[in-house]
Amino acid sequence: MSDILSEEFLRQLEHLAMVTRRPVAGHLRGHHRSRRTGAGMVFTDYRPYSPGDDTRNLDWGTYMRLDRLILRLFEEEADLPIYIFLDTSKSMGVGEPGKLDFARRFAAALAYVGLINHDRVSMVAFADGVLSEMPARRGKNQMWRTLHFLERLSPDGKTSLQNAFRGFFGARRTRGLVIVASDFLDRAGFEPAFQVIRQFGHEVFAAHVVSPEDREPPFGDDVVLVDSEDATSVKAHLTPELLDAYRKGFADYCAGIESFCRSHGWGYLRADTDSPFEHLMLRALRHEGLLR
Amino acid sequence: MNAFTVSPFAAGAAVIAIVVAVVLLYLLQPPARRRFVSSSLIWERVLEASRRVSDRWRWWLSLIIAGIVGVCVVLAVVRPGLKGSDGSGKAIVVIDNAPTMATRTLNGVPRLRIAQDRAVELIETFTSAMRVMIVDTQRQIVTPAFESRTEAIETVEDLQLGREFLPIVPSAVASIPAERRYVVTDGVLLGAPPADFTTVSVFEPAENLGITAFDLQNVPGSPARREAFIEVFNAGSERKTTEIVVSGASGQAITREVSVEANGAVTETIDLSTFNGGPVRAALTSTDDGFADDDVAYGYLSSRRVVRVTLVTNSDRFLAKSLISQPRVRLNVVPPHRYVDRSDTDIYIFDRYAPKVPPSAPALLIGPRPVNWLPSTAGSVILPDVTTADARHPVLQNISLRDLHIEKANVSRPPDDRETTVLLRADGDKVLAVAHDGATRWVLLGFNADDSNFGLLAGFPVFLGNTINWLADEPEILRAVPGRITVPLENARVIAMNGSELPVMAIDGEIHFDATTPGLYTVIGKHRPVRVAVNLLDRRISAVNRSALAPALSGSSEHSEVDELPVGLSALLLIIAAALLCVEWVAYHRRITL
Repeated sequence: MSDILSEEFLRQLEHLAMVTRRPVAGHLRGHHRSRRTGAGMVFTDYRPYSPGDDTRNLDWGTYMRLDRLILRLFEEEADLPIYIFLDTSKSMGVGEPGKLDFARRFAAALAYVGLINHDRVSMVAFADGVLSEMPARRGKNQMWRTLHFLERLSPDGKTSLQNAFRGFFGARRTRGLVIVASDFLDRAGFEPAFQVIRQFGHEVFAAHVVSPEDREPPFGDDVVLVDSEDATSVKAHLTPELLDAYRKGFADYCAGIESFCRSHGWGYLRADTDSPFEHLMLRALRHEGLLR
Repeated sequence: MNAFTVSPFAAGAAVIAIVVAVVLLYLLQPPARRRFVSSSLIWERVLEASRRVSDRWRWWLSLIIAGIVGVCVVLAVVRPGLKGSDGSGKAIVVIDNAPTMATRTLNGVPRLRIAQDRAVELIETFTSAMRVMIVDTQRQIVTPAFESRTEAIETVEDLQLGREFLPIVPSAVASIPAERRYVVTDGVLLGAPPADFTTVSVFEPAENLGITAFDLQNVPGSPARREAFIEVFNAGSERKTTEIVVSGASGQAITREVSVEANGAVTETIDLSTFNGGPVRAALTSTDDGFADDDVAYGYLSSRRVVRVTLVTNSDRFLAKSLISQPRVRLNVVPPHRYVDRSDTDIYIFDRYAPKVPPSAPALLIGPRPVNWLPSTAGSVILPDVTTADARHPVLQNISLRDLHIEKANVSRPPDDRETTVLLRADGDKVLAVAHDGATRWVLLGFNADDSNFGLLAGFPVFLGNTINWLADEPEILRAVPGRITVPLENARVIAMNGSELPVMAIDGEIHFDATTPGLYTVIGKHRPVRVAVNLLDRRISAVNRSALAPALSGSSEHSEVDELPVGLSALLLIIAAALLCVEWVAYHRRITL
């Protein structure tokens, strides 16, 4: 199918499905609980019959006892709008293996899971704003479009989560699951950006893509550290103490994102690019409750 | 160590040099490597949180280290003097430029060149403020003075070899207070330098075969025979064989092979009867000879003419025997009453007699009675002490009159003219002997053999020979060693063997000229030529290995006793600079090379 994902791995993904903690607001029939009542299997409530209601849901036993037409309400199963945000800023191109490549595979895998479960999958590439967008797709046969979209992405530009989220959710979007694959290295901070998503009531899953170079700087002594996005530089004499301080600072930064997500009931996964990708998808995401 | 003594100009130059050195060190610092990171966001936070006081001082510390390194390097190069640390800030360097310093070492470089190089090395180790006095053992530097290092080096480079026999460190120099004193010598002729001088040895053993004696004489009693006497000395450490080649002006040559033991000498007598008169050259043919000046010697062979001498005496058989033993002399003895001035006589010798009229031939008058044509007599003197002898006059050359004892002598009163030369003077300025170089030469002795021990002295036959040669107007032959030569002639020219005329300096009736190499020089005066045979015939000079010093290491004069020099401050400064550079490298730039 593509170099991004192997056929064997895709077969393993076919047994998975997205999980949401709250009822979804999809308009089309799907496999996720929704707040709407209608045709479904799970009984939720009664209400008096109104003309025009589906007579198939009348509770005839109640009518016999009470002589009143009472309609049984069922929880309608709907599809899940999935918005996969993929960070394509320059910082995603740093590291070996590259963070963007990793994020691309991650997004493709999740999109595949969504598509085979008849969820509506939208793909958004962003940096300091929305760079490109794949409209909502549904169905397994849309996978090739998704992969084609992902293959065209390349790292460029600064990171601005807030601009990206505002730009995308500025238009009316059905509430759904927002998956963000990024290194979250945004000078404006991640919190204001996530507040935008939270404002629209989406459920969020943050995939924090981390390269080994971000985690463990391999260099020492006098260096000029050049920011890959804005080319700003800072001179540093990298002593072991300073490197330890950096490691601690980076860990704190990651912990801050995770803590924020957890505090809002969102999912968080730290995706190290040097860790096995299959393990991440099949085990870690299950553990985090995104897949089942 | 309280203050620099450099001049303001030197101090300014040193400051500029330090600044340049610091800037260079700064520029030489490798730029920090550029490392691309995903984002400097976390780095900035970490750096801001972890920036310590020591980090702020780090740049300044690097600058201070660079400054100290620059100061050390500049001080090591410029070497400014420091007051009050070790003395007068003066140094004396005595350089031995005696003849043996011409000896070539195994590298082919003369000892003097090595000595000059060593002296320059020494001077360059001195501080720039130090004043240096260069002294040579041959007194070429007439008035040594303290001068700057640069001037001292120029003085050293200008030094030439001398020809004096007994060079020593001048006592006047030895008494001058100086912080450092050095003698650069091969230790052959210099002897023991003063104890407070540090000896720098340039001695290196060399092979040398040299002619240490060369004389040409007529054979006494055989007027037609002439012989050459040659002594060959081997200064090397092994027995050597050489050829002696004696050649004359007319192309005659005689070769004799001799073998000489180490540190030994052989003498050879070579019959030169077949030679015509004129210049004679003796030369040695040997290889690997380190000292060339003694490999050749020159002489002048007198003509083969027989001199007819008439001795006018009453009964002095001793004088007659002495004259017969003289070479070339054909003697005729007549008593005074039978004296007749005859044309077949070349020289008259009057013993206690003088004719009333001057003879037609030159004459030697021994204790004569007063006559008109001789200087007037100023009475007689008893037991006079001879105070002055004119050893430069041909008659008295090579004669020692130290043991001359005179019981009674007549005192002459010679005229004060250019033709008359006083040969002997006694105390009270009494004239005992006179030589007259007029139209007819004569020599007057104011005492006879009976009134003195002159006839018993070893120099008496030599005196007779000199007198006969001078009276017979044989070309006068002077012997000299290479160097400045003085001839008692005025308005004379000097011709070298190749026909070129040498520059002459005339002072007070004498001429002076420089004969730097052995050879036969002809001095042409008003009346007659004088031959000057310049030879280096001295075993003390030919013994180039007879040094009081240990041999310097071959091929590298950097060793030897210079190691005794104190470790210079500049070396210490350079070590400090190197150590600081290592610290700088380890602390800041290790990553460049690791």
